[in-house]
Amino acid sequence: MLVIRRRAGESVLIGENIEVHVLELSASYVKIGIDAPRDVAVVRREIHLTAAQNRSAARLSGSSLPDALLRLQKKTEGNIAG
Amino acid sequence: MPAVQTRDFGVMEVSPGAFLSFPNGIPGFDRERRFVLIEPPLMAPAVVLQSAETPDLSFLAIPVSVVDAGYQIGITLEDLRLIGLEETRQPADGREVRLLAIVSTAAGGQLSVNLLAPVVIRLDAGVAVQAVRNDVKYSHCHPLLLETGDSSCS
Repeated sequence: MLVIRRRAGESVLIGENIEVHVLELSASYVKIGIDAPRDVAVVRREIHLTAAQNRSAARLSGSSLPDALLRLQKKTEGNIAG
Repeated sequence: MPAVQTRDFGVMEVSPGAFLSFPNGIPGFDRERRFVLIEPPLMAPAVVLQSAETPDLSFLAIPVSVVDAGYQIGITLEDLRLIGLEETRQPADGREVRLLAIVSTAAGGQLSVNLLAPVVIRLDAGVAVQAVRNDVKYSHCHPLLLETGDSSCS
């Protein structure tokens, strides 16, 4: 991984068309701005992970569904009672 | 009552109140704006989020509180705004909103739930969002069953 030190107000270029600006720093977060072409998707990593997880969840169907459900109910029985 | 073509239950009649509007769709399915919440008693505590537009698209979900009774709600400002909730505080699960975790299977058949991005449903309006957290407190593939085999997920 390439590691670069930058200060607020500075930026980094990725290829010809993408620029990442460091806008603001605090103790716990960094605010960044990204200039990228319209066809480049820029999303938080968590959203990307959730999209992949949703695609996988949508495939939980057919014969695997009753089995999954049964295991799920078995597992959560205690929680429901309690 | 309106009828909805479902993936797993054939055509179902559902009350108008069962329809949920997702203003931005959900990640991976941005165009799916309308779902129906189906709660067959035999499936409890699990529920089904069925797309009202795509019969083949359906999700199994369970209440977040069943997975983690101490779950700390963390909805971003944007998502609170999106479904018309107060922006200055987090809503209460069970009173103002309902939090559901989408279930999926990882490699090896291990069941997991997405606690990073619970589906947040406003109880007083049929509006919902899959609220992806802005922190790393919870996993997108929280293992549901600690059975044999590892719980690795993609």
